[in-house]
Amino acid sequence: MKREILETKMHEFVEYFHVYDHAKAMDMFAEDAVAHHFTGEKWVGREAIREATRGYFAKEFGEVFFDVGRVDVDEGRNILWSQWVMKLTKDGFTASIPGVDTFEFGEDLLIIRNSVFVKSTKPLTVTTSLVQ
Amino acid sequence: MNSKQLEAKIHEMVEYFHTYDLDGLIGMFADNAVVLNFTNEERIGHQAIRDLLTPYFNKEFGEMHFDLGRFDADESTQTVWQQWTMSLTGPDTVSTFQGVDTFEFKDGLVVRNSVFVKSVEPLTSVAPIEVR
Repeated sequence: MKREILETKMHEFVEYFHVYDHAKAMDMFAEDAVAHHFTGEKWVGREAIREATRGYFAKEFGEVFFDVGRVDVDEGRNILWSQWVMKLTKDGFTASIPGVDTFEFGEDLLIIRNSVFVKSTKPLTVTTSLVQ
Repeated sequence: MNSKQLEAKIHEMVEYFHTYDLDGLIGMFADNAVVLNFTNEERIGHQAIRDLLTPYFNKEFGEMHFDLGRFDADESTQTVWQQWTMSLTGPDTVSTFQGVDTFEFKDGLVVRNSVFVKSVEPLTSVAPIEVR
């Protein structure tokens, strides 16, 4: 799929965040889409993603704005990577969080997989003991 | 480089990690390469990148292993995205982290690398809203 098409879809998705149109943002996902949040949570299906993202669209964390930076596209795999700084403005302060999204699109241009990663001084760590 | 050649570069790089060959790894970076690690610290140039990575190669955090996940490549920008799970094995425990590296290549060398991770505590900078 061509770069221009995928970039347009990504900007459309971001715009729905900026205008708090939860329904249209969710319509961009396939019914059985999988989303991996930066916290490590995994949401399977459009309805699970809708429920999990409700807080952003209800402004629970403040006004949300994505300042999108570099975008890369794997045209052969219908995959787009976008780097961004998410800005959450609430109570007179803006919290800026740098991160990255990857979107995999189906042939029908719906998102079938999304995963988010962030910068952090405390990566999610799973530690297991080797002592019997 | 095409996607296959870019992927081969990633495998070469990972092999240097697994064999603790820091010289080999550093040789894959351009003299003035920029590295942004997962904490968003910026290192520029061979020596600074070497300093950043030396503790890993000295096994200060344990035995290091990368299990590679999805690989995506944007041939037009010579940029790759490689997802991974890193394991650090100490005497009594093994800790795993999930992340993604992006590498931008020029003339076969890495000119820019940025690392992102999964985390419940994303790096956040907070500033008061500017009053105009």
